[in-house]
Amino acid sequence: MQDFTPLQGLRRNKISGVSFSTSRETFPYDESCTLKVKFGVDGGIRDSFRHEIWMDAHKRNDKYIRITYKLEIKKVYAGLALKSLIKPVKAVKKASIYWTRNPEMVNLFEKKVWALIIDERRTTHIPATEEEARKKLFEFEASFQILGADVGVGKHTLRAQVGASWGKHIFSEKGTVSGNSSSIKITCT
Amino acid sequence: MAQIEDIKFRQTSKFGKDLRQGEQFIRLTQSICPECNKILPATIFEREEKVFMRKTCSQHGEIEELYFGSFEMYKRFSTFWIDGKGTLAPNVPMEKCACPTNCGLCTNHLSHTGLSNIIVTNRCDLTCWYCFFYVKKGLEGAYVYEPTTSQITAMVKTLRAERPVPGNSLQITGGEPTLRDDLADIIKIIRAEGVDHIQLNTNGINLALDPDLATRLKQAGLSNLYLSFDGVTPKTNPKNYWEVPYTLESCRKANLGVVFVPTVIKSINDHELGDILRFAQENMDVVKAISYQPVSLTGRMSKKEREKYRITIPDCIDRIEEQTDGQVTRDDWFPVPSCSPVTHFIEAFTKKPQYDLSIHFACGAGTYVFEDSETKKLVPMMSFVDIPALFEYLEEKTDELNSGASSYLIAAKFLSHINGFVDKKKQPNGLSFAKLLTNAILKHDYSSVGQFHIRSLFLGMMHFQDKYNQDEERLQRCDIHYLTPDLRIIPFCSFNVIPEWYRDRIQQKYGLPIAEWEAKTGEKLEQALYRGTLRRANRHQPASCGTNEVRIEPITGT
Repeated sequence: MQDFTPLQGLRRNKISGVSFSTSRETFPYDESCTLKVKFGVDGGIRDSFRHEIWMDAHKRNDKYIRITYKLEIKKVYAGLALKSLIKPVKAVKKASIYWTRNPEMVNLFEKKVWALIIDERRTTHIPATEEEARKKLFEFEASFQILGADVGVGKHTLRAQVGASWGKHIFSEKGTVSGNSSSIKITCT
Repeated sequence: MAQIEDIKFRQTSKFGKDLRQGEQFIRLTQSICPECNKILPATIFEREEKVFMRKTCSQHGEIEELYFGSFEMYKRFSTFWIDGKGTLAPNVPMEKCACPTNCGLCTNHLSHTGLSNIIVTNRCDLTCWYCFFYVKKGLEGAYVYEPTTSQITAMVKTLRAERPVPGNSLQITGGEPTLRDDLADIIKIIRAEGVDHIQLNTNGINLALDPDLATRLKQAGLSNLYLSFDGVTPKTNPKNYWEVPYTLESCRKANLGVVFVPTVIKSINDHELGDILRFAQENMDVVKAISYQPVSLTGRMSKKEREKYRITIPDCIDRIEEQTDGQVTRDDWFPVPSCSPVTHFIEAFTKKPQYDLSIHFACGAGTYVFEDSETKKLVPMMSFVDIPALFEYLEEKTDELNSGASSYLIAAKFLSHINGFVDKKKQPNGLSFAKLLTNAILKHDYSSVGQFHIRSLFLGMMHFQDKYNQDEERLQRCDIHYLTPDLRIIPFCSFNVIPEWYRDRIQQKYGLPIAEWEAKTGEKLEQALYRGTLRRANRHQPASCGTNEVRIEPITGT
């Protein structure tokens, strides 16, 4: 990777669109419920992930971008998220900026560079548009099944703590962002 | 900030419209028409768990070809799609990408030379039916091509001038290179130019006939043989079935390592891939690797013929799993560019460009297997090293180094974590994978890599393209290149896939018509043909797996 030239006027990076939901607000002790967490990264790093920058990044041998997502679900006591309900999740999404020979790109650009996304399940996606590429790389979703035994009988308040980090690239300094979801209540009977 | 224009990539997929029932779109690329070489749009798609390519020439119609025999493996391999550094010293400046024309390397090529080839002669002592390379009488425009030593020197200098990574690995090839009397001198010339690794692509017959030749070539600076070896029976391997034991014995005496190179053809020798592996295992003291090469279908062939012979990397991997009773499974294999996390980590650590095997994920695959000293069974590296987790870890640390982390801190972290990726209970005796990797990555001491070769075999797979399955995305990333006397460096799959533009033209320009060559040298082309001396002698153990010991009797005159 060549020397870093920061892009000017980029928005501040932040966690966005955190959504935390449960499939069942009340469930018996011997059954389970599914918790779903969705969130994304917004700001300069996301805005920079576009074709014009991919061309420059490819030329300067900065062709591989990793976003590490972290997620914890915690039980809330007296307003404080204290006890982890699940093992903390660490997942990585990657983008590989590559030179495509897709004939629909011929004559569009001097250098037919595109990005493919490798998701946390190690599945490769060739996005149809830049926006799809941004969604695939900068949005994260996970669901967990929890048993009554995991939480115990009673009313519980849960909160998701989420974060994302990435390294330095020609279009961005290294960065870390974090955030919290709103609390949800579940009852185990 | 201004609204970002959303550039569409393949939304309309007009070239993908020809998908039929039961087919799933994967990607679009470019290929060529096998008849007229016209560049065509090509659709890569899945059908019945296999990957196919379809393209249509307005003049010559539709061509559909098997591209990769397993969609599941294609998906797994595609996660290693990473473009390489390319070359900063192109010999052919090109403003726009125009593959497959003007190869040489051009400005737009995406891999530096991983392995270079120099053809020292196109004469051969055999006439194998599937070989596309040797010169033969009766063909219009046939030339004997034998570059001079000064031409060879110039070619090697061109290789060494490559940037950012000077070429450092070279294969002497043919024809049959041992037909050149000055072969040892050629090796010395290449070594003197600073090339560290020199291998000889040969059928081994002359090394069998002349037991001292291997020693002379080793002393000249040869690193190893790349020995053509198509099967363990006379039927599958009429080429050198009877001669290979002699060749191995010569190499054993010379302490010269051997790589077996089977050309794999469906319906011909694909049932012997496991036997070839067992034969290599029996000769592990001298055989260090096998490079299986699914056949490249050259010349015009009907679809029926192509379906009879076509075999791809996943098909070979599956046959090896079946034929080794599951000792080497399909999950043990990784695509060649999977080495990138290690390369990129070393680059970030040393801040210097490193040798990068950045070919397309569909071009090649590999794995290491070790022999268990007690059971004699093969133990793949995957069974004692968590390779995916190791790669993830290296990628994470590369990001940290590129973001300014202290290399001392990262080295300390690496040392404290490396053992966590190795299951020491399953690790073969005498091997310390963690130590080896630490020496290679942190100390840049590659001598310990030799440990890998103690009772181990590297299994490789390389599928060279042909006009039916040619994919420009693969070609643009090719890192096996030919050095030519016009001082170009031409990717293998241009040089041999479109010989009328590259190989034949160069051999015509720098070669001699057969009659002229015969008049000049006083030799006849057919004089060099092998007459089966060792087959008629028939006193030795042939190349098969029935015994752990290959007995060689002295060769006497015929």
